[in-house]
Amino acid sequence: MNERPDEQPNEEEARIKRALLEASPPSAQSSFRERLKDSFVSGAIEVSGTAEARGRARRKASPIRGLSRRGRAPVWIAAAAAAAAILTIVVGTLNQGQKWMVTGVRGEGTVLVDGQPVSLTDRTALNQVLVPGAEVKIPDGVEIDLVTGGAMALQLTRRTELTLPPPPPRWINRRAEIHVRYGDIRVTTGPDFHGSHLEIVTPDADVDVTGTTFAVIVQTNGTCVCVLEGTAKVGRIVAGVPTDMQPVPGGRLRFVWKGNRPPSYDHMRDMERAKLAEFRDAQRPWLEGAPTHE
Amino acid sequence: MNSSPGQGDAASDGPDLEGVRRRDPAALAAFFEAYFDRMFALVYRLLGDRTLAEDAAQEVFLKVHRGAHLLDPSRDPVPWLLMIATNVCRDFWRSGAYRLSHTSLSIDDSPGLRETLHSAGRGPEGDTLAAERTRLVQGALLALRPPLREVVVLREYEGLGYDQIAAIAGLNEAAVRKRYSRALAEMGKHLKKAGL
Repeated sequence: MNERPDEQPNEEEARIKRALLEASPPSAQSSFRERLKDSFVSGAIEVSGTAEARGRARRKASPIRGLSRRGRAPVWIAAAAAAAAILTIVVGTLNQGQKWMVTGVRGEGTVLVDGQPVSLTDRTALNQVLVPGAEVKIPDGVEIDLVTGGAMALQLTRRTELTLPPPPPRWINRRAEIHVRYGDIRVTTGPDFHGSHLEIVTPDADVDVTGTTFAVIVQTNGTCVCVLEGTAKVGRIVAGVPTDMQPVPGGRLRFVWKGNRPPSYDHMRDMERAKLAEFRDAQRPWLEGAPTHE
Repeated sequence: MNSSPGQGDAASDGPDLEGVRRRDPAALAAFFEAYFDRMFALVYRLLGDRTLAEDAAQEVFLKVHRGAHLLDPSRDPVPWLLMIATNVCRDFWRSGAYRLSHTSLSIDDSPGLRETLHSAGRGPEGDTLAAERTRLVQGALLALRPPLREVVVLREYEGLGYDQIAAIAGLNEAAVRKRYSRALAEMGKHLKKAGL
């Protein structure tokens, strides 16, 4: 703990803290606890984990859940619902895009994934941990290239902090969202991205693309989006909502400042242009049919 | 309040982390027993919904299983677990399921809270009062925006310092202090409105 010596809660704060601590701690139902423990200990969680969680989330959203709980639904409705749920899960599983695969690593040392260091020389370990939802922190002097099938390639560079997104689904709801907290990333899309939609969210800006090559640079004073080719829509985030989304064509950049200063437009710097072109060309073989490790 | 997560060595009487790294079933079982309740309480308080909390707890332990070989046996695994759990909750906050559950339910409609009570040592009247109080406090917590709720839960229930919360939330310490202070002020209003 890092309390300041003079830091004492006032009377009102002390009252709130007391109320919080007097509230009883929530506990899990024992059946759920035992089931999860079994699957965690046996390793079955690796197979059933995410799909089951999504399935339950969907069931929660469905009015059928309420009906079956009260035992009023005829058996055939329950059976149809079960069949629909199974179909949804199967389609959902098949609809998932290909896994992220590391195609290039530059630099030495480790990268932090979910708070744990992973050696940059251990490509197998990197491929195991760089999965959707992983929290990634890239140290200075390190670059990692990732590709997901023929859809999209991602370059994570110096001091980038982001949540690795699920790849764009194959057929339905073809959207992907990347949350970047800090650093530079470069993105280029491949032939399988066609029809998909990618949103990149930073603390200051929102970037909306349907196929292009661009860089997002998140700095302490704002976010710079440099577009090499295609068009990206870039806007600022106000109270958590993207606003003033403006198209940024190839060769241009838009800088979204922190605070109230209006965004700036400019021509892209030559250095970033060269880096993006190099990245795009290096990833093209992967995106256009190089064999994957799937 | 739970004990401080610690920053250095793993507790010598804690689960066998080397065994967890090897995914030894006995070590995994002990690890689960040691941390499940704390992680479940954390995600429940952050998400305010039993079904979502179960999904989140499952995601947390899935990530632990996947990343078990990365565990450093010489360090307390709690900060790692807290980081995973809060990240999972952030993903849930962004998800459609969370938005749906929080547009279709009011904070007065929190089924399951009552059954969470630990009733030992109280009479039926005491149980009812404690349940009501818990419901109102959880309601006030849920009325906070997720970033504010996260700071309050990590500070008050997990016993973290501002620097530790800053590391988890990706903020600087001053920003965490500011959020905490704002969160307490908002909590105070909600609790007053609820008659507490």
